[in-house]
Amino acid sequence: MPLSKAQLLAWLGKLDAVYAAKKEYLTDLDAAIGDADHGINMNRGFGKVMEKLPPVADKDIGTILKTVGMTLMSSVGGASGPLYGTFWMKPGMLLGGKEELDAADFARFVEAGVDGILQRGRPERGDKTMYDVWAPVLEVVKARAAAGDDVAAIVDAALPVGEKALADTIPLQARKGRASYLGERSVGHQDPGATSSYYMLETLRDVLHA
Amino acid sequence: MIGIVIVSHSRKLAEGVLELAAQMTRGAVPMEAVGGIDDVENPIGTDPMQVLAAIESVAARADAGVLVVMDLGSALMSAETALDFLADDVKARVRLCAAPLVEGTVAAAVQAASGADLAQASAEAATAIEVKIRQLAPVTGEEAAASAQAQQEAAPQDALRLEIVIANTLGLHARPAANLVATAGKFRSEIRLAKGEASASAKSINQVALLSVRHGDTVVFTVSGPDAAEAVAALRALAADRFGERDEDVALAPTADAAASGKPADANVFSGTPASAGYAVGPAWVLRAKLPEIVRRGSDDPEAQIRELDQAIAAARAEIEAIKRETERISGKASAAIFAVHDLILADAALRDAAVARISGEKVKAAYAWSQTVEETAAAYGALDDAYMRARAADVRDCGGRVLRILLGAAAPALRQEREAIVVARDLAPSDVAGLDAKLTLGIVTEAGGATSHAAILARALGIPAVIGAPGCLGRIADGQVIALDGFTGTVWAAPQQSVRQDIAARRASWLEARHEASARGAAPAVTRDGVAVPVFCNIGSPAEAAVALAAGAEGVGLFRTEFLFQERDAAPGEEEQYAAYVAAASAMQGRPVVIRTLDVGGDKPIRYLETAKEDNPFLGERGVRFCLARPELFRTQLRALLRAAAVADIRIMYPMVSDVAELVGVLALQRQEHDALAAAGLAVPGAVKTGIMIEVPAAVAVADKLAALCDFFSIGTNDLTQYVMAADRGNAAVAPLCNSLNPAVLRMIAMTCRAGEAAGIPVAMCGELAGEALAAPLLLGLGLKELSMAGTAVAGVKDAIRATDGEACRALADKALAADSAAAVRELLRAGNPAA
Ligand SMILES: Nc1ncnc2c1ncn2[C@@H]1O[C@H](COP(=O)(O)OP(=O)(O)OP(=O)(O)O)[C@@H](O)[C@H]1O
Ligand SMILES: [Mg+2]
Repeated sequence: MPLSKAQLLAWLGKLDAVYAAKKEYLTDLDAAIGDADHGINMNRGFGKVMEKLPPVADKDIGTILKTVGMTLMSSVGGASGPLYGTFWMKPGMLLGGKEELDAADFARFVEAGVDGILQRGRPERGDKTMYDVWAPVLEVVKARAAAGDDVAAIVDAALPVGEKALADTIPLQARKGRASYLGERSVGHQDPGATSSYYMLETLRDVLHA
Repeated sequence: MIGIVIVSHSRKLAEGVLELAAQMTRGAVPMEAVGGIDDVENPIGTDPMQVLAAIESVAARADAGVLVVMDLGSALMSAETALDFLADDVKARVRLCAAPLVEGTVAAAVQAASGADLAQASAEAATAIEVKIRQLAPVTGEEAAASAQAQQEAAPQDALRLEIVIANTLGLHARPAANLVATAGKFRSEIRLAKGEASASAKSINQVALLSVRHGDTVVFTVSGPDAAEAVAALRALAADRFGERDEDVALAPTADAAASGKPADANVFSGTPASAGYAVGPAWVLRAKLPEIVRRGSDDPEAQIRELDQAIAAARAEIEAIKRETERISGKASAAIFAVHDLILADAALRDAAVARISGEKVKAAYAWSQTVEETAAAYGALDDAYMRARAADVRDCGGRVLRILLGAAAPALRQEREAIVVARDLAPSDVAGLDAKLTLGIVTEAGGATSHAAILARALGIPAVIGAPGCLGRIADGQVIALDGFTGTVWAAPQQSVRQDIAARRASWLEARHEASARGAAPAVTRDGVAVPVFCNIGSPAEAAVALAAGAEGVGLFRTEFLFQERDAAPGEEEQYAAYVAAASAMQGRPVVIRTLDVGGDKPIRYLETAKEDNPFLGERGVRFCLARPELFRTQLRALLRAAAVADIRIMYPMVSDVAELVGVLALQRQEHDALAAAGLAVPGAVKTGIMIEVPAAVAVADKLAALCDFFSIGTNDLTQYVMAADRGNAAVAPLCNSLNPAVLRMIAMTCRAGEAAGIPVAMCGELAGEALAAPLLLGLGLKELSMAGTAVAGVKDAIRATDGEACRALADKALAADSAAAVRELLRAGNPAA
C-alpha cells in the first residue's frame, strides 16, 4: 500500500501532537548538551505547520512537503530549522504532482530529505546528530524498497534500526551543533535532534498502522 | 561600497553590534541586523528567511556586494540557507564571513567604509580576533599562531596547481605580499608558491618576500589539503584583484624608476610632524638597524627557552600593535603601515620555527638562536637585487631586535653615542632619548609619530631639533649619510643637495646664535636695580634636562620631578637606579643645588604597576605624599636613594601635597628612620639634608607657621594651589577662567605663605607656572618670594624682568595687586608696570 495524502496529513498532525507532548522531554535532552530549546523549537515549528497546512491540504504532495519545509525553516529557530526545513522541502521539489507515495517514491522522499540534511549541516556519521539516525534508516529504506516491500513494511523495518541508532548517540561526543562546544561533556547523553528524528519515524509507523 | 548583514540568535545582540559598527563608520556603510525569531516567549534563534530579506535589502544599497557576519550554530546554517534562495546575480556578490561576530563586524565595517572589497573586508574581519589575542597575550600568554598548527594537521592529498602571471605593479611585495599571506593563512591546506626553481610557503611573509616575485613573473601555487579547492579559488580571486594592490601602494613604494622619472628630489624629501624647533645638518646615526651582538650561550632547558622566545615574540607584537595604533592616530594610516609589516614578520611561523630548531638542535639560548635566525633572514633580504626589498632587511632587524631587547631584558646594551650626529630611528622610547647625549645630538628624526611623543617633549626640553612621524625615511637613510632637517616645518632631506645643505647650515648658525644670545643673557645673575640677587632655578623632569637647565643659565634646579623614573616601565626603579639618576642630575648641575621632589602621583596620573584605587575625585584623593605614605616600601626606597645622593651632592628633598602638620611629622619621622638606618649600616649620609615642602593646598597655607617650624624651605606650586583655592578645574572650560593664578585670592595665599616663611626664617620659593611669567616677576618679588624656578626657556626673560625692577616698585605693585578685584585687574597692573608688554 502506498502512503496516501490523507496519511501524510495525519502524520503531520500527529507529529504536532507528539512534539507538543514531548516538548519538555526534548528540551531536557537539549538542556544536557545544548541550549535547552529543541523541544520548544520543534513544538513551535509544527504548531506553525498546522496553521499553514489547511490552505494547501488539497494540493499535491510536493506542495504540501514544500510548505512544511518552508514553514519549519523559518519558525523552528535553531539549527534544526534549516535542517528539517531542507529535509521536507527537498523531497517536495522532487515529488511535485504526486497524490500518493509508493515504496519507490517513499525511498526517494527519505533519500532527498537526508540529502538535504547532509547538504545543510555537513554532518558525518558519529558526529552525534540527527544524521546518526537517518543514515542507517536510509540504508534500510532503500534496501527494503528495492526488495519490493510496501511503505508500511519499510517503516516497520526501519524503526528498530532507528531506535538502535538513537541509543547509539548516547556514548558519542558531539562534533556538530551547540553540543560540540561541550566537548567530552556531551558524552553520555542522547542527542535531541536524533530523538526528534526518531519520533518522525515512530509517528509514521503509528499512522500507517492506524 | 560593500554592505554588511549581521546575523545573531539574539536580535538585541545583532542590533547592538550594528550600533557599535555604525558608530565607527557614521552610517556610511549599508548595514542590517537580523536576529531572533517570531516568538515572544522564546525569541532566541535564527530565521533564514529574515536573513534572506536582509541580504536582499542591503544588496540593493551596496553596489560592491554584501558581507554576512554571523554568531554561531544555526546562524551559519540560516545564512547558508538564505544563499540558496538568492538570485544568482545577487548570490555572486554575497560572502559569508567566518570572523567572530563583534570584532569581525567592526573590522569589516571600518574596511567597508574605507572602500575595501568583499575579500579584503572579509580577510580583515577574520583576523580581527588576532588583534585581541595579541593585545591580551602578555596577560593570557596565548598566541594567535593558529596557522602553524593548521599546517601540521593538513593531510597531504592530491595537490592542486594554479599558475598565475603576476599583473600587479609591485609584484609580491608590501601589501600584495601581506594579502597573499593573509589569504593563504586562512586555509588548512599547505600552500606553496614557486617561481622557477625556488619555492616558498605562501603562509610565510618572509619566504614570500624573499622569493622576490615581480610584475610579469609567472608563479605556480601548489595547494594540498582538505580545503585545497577553496584555497585555489581564493588565490585565484586574490590574483584577479591584483593581490589587493591599490594605487596608493604603488605611489608609496619607492621604485628605481621614480628617480629617473624627473622627480628625484621628492623621493628624498620627507615630511613629518615638527616636534622640536631648530635646524640640523650632519651625518645620520641610524639606530637599531643593527642587532646587538649576542654571545653564544648554551642552555639545557630548550623548552623553557622556547617558551621565553614565544613570550618575547608575543610581547613584541603587542608593543608593535600599540605603536601602530598610536602612530595611526597621530600621523595617519600611511605612517603606521610599516608596523603592520613588522607584525607580519614576527607573526611568521617560519621565522619562529627556525629559531626554535636552533634552540633544540644546538642547545643554545633563545636570544642567540633568535639573533642568528633574524640576521640570516635580514641578510637574505639584503642580498636581493631590488632596492625596495633590500630596505626590508632593516625592518627584519628592527622588529627582530625588538624581540631580542625583550628577551634580554635589562641586560640590553644601552645606546652609546660617540660622535655628533642626527639620530634617525623607527621610533625612540623615552629611555632611548635619555641615553642620548644632548651635546652630540644634532637632531632627531623618527618614522613613528605616536610612541615618540614623549621623545618629542624631551627633544624640546633638550633643545634638540626634531621631526617625528616621517614615514619611509629609514629606507633612504644609511648610517653616516649626511642629512638635513628643519624642525620648524617638519621636513627631512635624506640626500640634500649642496644648496639645501648650505641653506640649512646657515639657518642653523643663526638659530644657534639667537639661542646663544638668550642663554648669555640667562647666564648672568639676576640682580634688581637696588642690588638684591634673586636666584633663578629650573624645573626639570630627567637628569638629561639638567644640562639644558645649566645652559639656560639656571643657578640650580628648583624642582626635579622624579615621576620620569617611574613611568613607562613595569616595575618601580630600585634604590641603585634612583641613586644613580639623582647623582647624575646633581653632577650635571656642577655643584649647584638640586631640589628633588619625592614621587608625586595619584589617581590623576596613575602609574600602571602601582595599584591606584579608582577614585571618584582623584584630585581630592590619594595624591603626592599621601600616596607615598600609603606605600611605605616604595617611599622608603626613594628616601634611601635621596639621602645617599645627598651625601655626594647638594641635594635637597621636597615633599608634595603636604596638607597637615601630623602628615609632615610622619614623613619626617620616616626620613629620620631611613637616615639612621643608612648611617647604622655604615653608608655615607650627610649630617642633615635640607628638607622642604610644596605649598599647594590651602590647608598648608593656613598652618604655614606650624609647617615652617618643621622644615627648611617652602616652594609654592601655583598650579595646584590655584585650582584648590579657586575650587576650579583648569581642564574644565566652563570654570577655567576662574582658575587664574593672578586671582587676588591666590596672591593673598602666596603673601601669607611668604610672611610665615619670613617669620620662621626660611626661604619661600615658587616652582609653579607663574614663576616663569616674566611679567609677573616684580609682583612675585613684592609678595616676598626669594627664589623662582621655571622651565629653561623662561629663564632669560624672567632674569631680564628682575634686572629691570627694584624692591620698592615690587612692593608697591604687590600692595595694589593684593587689593585688586580680579585677575584681569592684576594683569592690567602688571602691564601698566611694564610698558614694553
Ligand atoms: N551540523 C549539523 N548537522 C546535522 N545536525 C545537526 C547539526 N547541528 C545540529 N544538529 C542537530 O540539531 C539538534 C539541535 O537542534 P536545535 O533546534 O536545538 O538547534 P540548536 O543547536 O539549539 O541551534 P542553535 O545553533 O541555534 O543554537 C542537535 O541535537 C543535532 O541533532
Ligand atoms: Mg538547541
